[in-house]
Amino acid sequence: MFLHPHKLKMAAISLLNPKAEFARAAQALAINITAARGIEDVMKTNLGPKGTMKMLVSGAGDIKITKDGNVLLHEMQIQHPTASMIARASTAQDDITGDGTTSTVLVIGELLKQADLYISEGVHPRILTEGFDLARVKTLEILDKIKINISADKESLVNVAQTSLRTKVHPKVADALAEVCVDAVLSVKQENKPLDLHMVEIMEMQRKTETETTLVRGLVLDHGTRHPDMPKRSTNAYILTCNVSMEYEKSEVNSGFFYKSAEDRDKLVAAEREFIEKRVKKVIELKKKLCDGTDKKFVVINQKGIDPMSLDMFAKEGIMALRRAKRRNMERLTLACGGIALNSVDDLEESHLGYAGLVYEHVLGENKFTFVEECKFPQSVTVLIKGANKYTLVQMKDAVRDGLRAIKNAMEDGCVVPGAGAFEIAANLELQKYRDDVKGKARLGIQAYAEALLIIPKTLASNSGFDSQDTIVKLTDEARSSGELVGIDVTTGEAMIPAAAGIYDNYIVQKQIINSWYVITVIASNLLLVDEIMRAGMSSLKG
Amino acid sequence: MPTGQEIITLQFGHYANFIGTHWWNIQEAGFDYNSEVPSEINHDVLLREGRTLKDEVTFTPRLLLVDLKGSLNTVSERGDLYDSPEIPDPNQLDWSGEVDLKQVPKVEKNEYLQDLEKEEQALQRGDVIGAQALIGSKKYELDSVVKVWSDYLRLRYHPRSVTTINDYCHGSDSRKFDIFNLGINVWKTEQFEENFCDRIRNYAEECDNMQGFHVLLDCNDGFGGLGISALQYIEDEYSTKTTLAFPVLPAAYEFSNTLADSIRTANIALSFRGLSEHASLFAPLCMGSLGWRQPGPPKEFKYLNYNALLSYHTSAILAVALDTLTLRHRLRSKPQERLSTVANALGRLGRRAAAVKAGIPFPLAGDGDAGFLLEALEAWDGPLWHSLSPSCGDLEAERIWMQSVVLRGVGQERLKSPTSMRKNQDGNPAYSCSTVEEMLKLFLYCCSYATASHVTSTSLPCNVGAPFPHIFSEDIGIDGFLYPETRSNDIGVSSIPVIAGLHSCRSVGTMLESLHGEASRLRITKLHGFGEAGLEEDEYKECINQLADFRECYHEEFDV
Ligand SMILES: Nc1ncnc2c1ncn2[C@@H]1O[C@H](COP(=O)(O)OP(=O)(O)O)[C@@H](O)[C@H]1O
Ligand SMILES: [Mg+2]
Repeated sequence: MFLHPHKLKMAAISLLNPKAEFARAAQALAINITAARGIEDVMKTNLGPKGTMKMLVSGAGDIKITKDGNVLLHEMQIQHPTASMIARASTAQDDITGDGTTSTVLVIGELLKQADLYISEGVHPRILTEGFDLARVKTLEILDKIKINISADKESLVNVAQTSLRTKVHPKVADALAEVCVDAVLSVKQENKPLDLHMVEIMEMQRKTETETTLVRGLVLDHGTRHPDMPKRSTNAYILTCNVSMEYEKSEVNSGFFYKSAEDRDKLVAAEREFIEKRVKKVIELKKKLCDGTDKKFVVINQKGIDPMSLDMFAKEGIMALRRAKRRNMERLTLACGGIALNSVDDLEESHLGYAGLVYEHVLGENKFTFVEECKFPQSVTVLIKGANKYTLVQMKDAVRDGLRAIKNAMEDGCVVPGAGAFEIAANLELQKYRDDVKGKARLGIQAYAEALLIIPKTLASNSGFDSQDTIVKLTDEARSSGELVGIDVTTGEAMIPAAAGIYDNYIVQKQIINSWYVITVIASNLLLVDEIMRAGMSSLKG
Repeated sequence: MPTGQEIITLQFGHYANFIGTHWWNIQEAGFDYNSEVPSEINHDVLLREGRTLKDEVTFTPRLLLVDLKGSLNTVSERGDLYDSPEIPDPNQLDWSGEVDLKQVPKVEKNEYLQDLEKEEQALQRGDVIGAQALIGSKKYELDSVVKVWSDYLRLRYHPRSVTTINDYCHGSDSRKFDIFNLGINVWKTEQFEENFCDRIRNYAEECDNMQGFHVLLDCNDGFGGLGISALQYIEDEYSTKTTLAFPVLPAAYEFSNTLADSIRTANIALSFRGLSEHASLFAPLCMGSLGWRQPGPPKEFKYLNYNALLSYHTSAILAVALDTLTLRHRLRSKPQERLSTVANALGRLGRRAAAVKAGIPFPLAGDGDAGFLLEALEAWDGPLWHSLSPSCGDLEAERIWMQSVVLRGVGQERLKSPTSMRKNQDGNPAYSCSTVEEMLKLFLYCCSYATASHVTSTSLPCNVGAPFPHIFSEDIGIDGFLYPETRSNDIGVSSIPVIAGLHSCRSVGTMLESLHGEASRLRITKLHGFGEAGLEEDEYKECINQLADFRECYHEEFDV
C-alpha cells in the first residue's frame, strides 16, 4: 500500500506558507538546505547496527532511550517548513512500512544537497527533477531485479527480524526478540487470510527485576479478580467471553423525583436488581450443568462491568470472573481459546464457550495480571515484556513492534533485499550505466540521484568508525569485480556478502524510500516559484 | 449495596488543567490526615488508593489529563510516585555502540514548589511540625511566577494521569492546535484510541460502583474536538454511566484578531453541538461575560479583586465553584446522591445545558447578628449568586425551572441568632427551620416560586490557602467571613463559605441563542484550517441547525 506521491505532494505544498515574503523566498534554497542539514545531522549517527543510541532527558526528568529515527523525529521540535516536510515524509515512511525513517531523512537530505550543487551551477530545477524521476523509475527496476524471493519459513523470517532488531537493541536482546516475534507471527497467521498483527497482544509488566521478553501462547490481561473469595487460579477451564452488563445501575425512570413513595422506589430498585441477577444466574446455571461433579472450572471474562453483588454470586460458585476487559481482547480471547464473544447470555450454551488449561492471576503492587494459557490452538498470543522502568518497557515495546512489522512485511512481500548498503551500491553502479544512455541535461539528475544513494553505505561505514570514501571505493571495486551484491561488514570495514550473513532489509521499506524523492520535487517547485518571483520582481523594476 | 461511588475525571486542554489543578489543590487542602471520623466529603469518589511496587500506599486523583508537549514544566509525564526519578548512567545501558545523552537542564522550581519539596523531605524524616511550619500560612506571591498549571500543583499524579500530545507544542506559532477537527484527528491516533482508552478502562475496572465522569474541556481550540471524541467514546463504551461535562473558556487570550476570534467561535459551536449530543449534562464556564468571539469584560464579584488576564486567578474562581457544586454527589449523605440523579433532574426535556452560578465567598458577617443565615437571608438584597457561564448573565426576567444548590462553610451554629430564637416571630416559617438545608430551601422557594430546588449543605468550607491566589477583598477575614476591620496585607484567606449551583433556566436559552447567532454568521469555508483538518461545509451547517434545535428545548411552550 502506497500513498500516491502526487497526493502527498499536494498535502506537503499546502504546508508551505503561501505568503512567504520576497526577501525570505530569495534565500529559500540556502535555508532549505540548512534546515535539512539540521535534522540530518541529528539523525545521521543513528543509522545501522553501530549507530548511536540516544538518551533523552527532559527538564522534568522524563527519560526516553531510543535509536529509532521515527521516535527521535517525534521528539524533535521542528519549526522550519522544509525540515518538517522531510520529517513528515519520514514519519509517513514509518506509518506505511514501520522502518527506514533514518534512511529516508538521509537520502532526502543528500538529494537536496546534490540539487543545491547543480542549481547553483545554473541547472534549472525542473530539468533536475526530471532526471530524479527517471532515476527513481530505474532504481525501482533495479530493486526488483535484485530482490531475493523467500518463503515464509522460520529461518528467513528470523533473519529479517534480527537485521531490523539489531539496529534497535543489543544483539543478544535482538536475537531473543526476533525469535519471540517470529513465533508470535507464525502462531496467529491463518491460512489464506491477511496477517492481523493486532492478534499479537503486547503487554508490559513493570517489576523490579531484569528486562525479559517472552511469548505467552494465550492471553495476558492487565486486570484480575475483584473479590476476596474468588479463585485466583483455575485449571481445565471453560472460558466465557462476553460483553454483558452485570452491574446494577439506577436507570432514568427511578431516579430523582419520579417515584411517588419510598416503597415505589424500593420496588423499582428490586426489579432492576433482579434483572441483572438473572443474567448472572444464567451463567451460573450453565456452569453447574457443565462443571459440577467434574474437575472442570469456569471463567467469565466480561467487557462490561460486574458489580460486587454479582461478583459475590460468582465467587460462591467458584467461578473466576473478570470485568472490563479490553474491547479488542474479546476477539483475541475467542481466537486464543475458541468459543464466541457473546453480547447476551440469554441463550447461553456450551458451544459458545472456549477452553484454557490454565488461568491464573499475578499481582504486582496495585497491578493485577491474568494469564490465560494452555489453549488448544491459540491463534492469538501475547508478547510479555518485563522491565524495571517505564523507559525500558517503552524501548522494548517499540522494538517488538518493529520486529513484528518487519516479519509481516517480509511475508507480504514474499521477498527481501540484501542490506548493509549492498542494494545502494548496486543501484549506484547501474544508475551510472543508465546515465550514459540518457540524452540531455536530465542525466545530471540521474547522476545526483545515484550519488545520493551512497549516503547509506557511507554512513554505515562512518558510524562503525571507518572512512566512508575508502569504504565506498572498496565496496564498488568488489561489486564490480565479483558481480555480487556486496555490503559493508560493520566490524571489519571490509566488503562482505550480506545475503550470506543473513542481513536482509524489507523490500517494501526500500521501495518506499526510493519513492520519497517526491519531497524534493516539492521543495524544487518551491524553488521554481522563487525563480519566478525573482524574475517578476526584476521585470516590475524595469517597469 | 455496593460501596463505591467513584467518578473518573478527565481534563482536556491547558485552561481546563489550570482549573483542574486548583480543584485538586482545594481538595487536598481539605484532607484531614489526623481525624478518626471520616470526613463529610467522601474523598474516595474522586481519588483512588493505590500501592507502589515498594508497597507504599498512594492516594491520587482518578484523573486523566491531556495537554500539549512542552506544557508540563516541572512535572514529569510519568510522575515519580511509582517510578524511580533516577537517571541511568548512559554507559551502563545495554547497547553495543555509543550512547549519546541529551539532557535538558533541570527546570528550576519556584519558591512554592521548593517549599513543597522541603515539606515532603521533612515528612519523610518524620518531622511533622517542621513540615507544617514550611507552608502553613505563608503568603506566596505567585501571580508573576505562574506560567503553566504545574507551577502551583500540590498533588502528585498517578503515572496513568498525564498524556501529552507530541505533535503539537504548547505556545507554538507555527503549528497550532487551534481547530476543533485537529482534536478529532488526534483522537484517532493510537495514543488515544488505544492507550488513553485503556487508561480509562484501567480506572473503570477498579471501580465497584462507578457513578460516571467529570469532564473538563477547553472548547475554544482543538481540545474541543478531542474532548468531544472522548465523550462519544464514553457514551459508547460506558453507556450506563453519567457524564457531567464542563466546557471552559479562558477569560483572556494572548493573541486575538478577527480570524482567530472566528476560529474560536466555530470551535465553541462545534463543541457545544457535541456536548448536546454526548454529555448527560454540561455546564459552560467562563470568567468573561461574553465568551464566544472574545471573553468580554470580566465578571464582577463584590468581594473578589482578581486579574482577568491571569489564568491562575480566573481558573481558581471556577475551581471553587466546581468543588462546591459537585459536593451534592460527593458527600457521605444518606441516601447517597448520585451523579445520575443530578444529571437526569437538571437535564430534563433535552435541556442538557445548565448554567453555573455561584456566590464566592458566600457573604456572611464574621460576628454579630448578621453572621447568622436567617438574619442574613432576611436582610438579603439582590441575587444570591452570579453566573459563571458565558453570555448567560443575570436576566431581569430570569426563570429557573430546576436547580441544584450547594452551600458550604455555614455550620449549624450559624443557622439563626440566639436573639431571633428568643423572638420566635409568629408564624414566620423560617424560624422553625432546624437545618441550613431547610432554611435555604425555604428561602429559594420564596424567592422563586415554581422552581424545583435541591439543596445540599455542609459545614466544611472551601480551603483557599496557598497556593490559591490572593484575590479576596480586604473585607474578607482569614476565615472567609466579613469583618468591619480590614485584613492585614500579609495574611491570606485560608477558607471561605461558598454557595454554588447548577441551574436549568431561561438564561441558558439566551446563552445558546447568542452562540448560535455568532456561529451562524461565520463563513466556514473562509476559515481554511477547518477544511484542511477535515470539516465539510455541510457538517458545519448541520451543526448550526442542531444548535438551533437545541436552543428550542429552552422555549417554555414546551414546558410540562
Ligand atoms: N548487520 C548489519 N550490517 C550492516 N548494515 C546493516 C546491518 N543491519 C542493518 N544494516 C543496515 O542498516 C540500515 C538501517 O539502519 P536503521 O538504523 O534501522 O535505520 P532506518 O531507520 O533507516 O531503518 C539499513 O541500510 C540496513 O541494511
Ligand atoms: Mg530500521
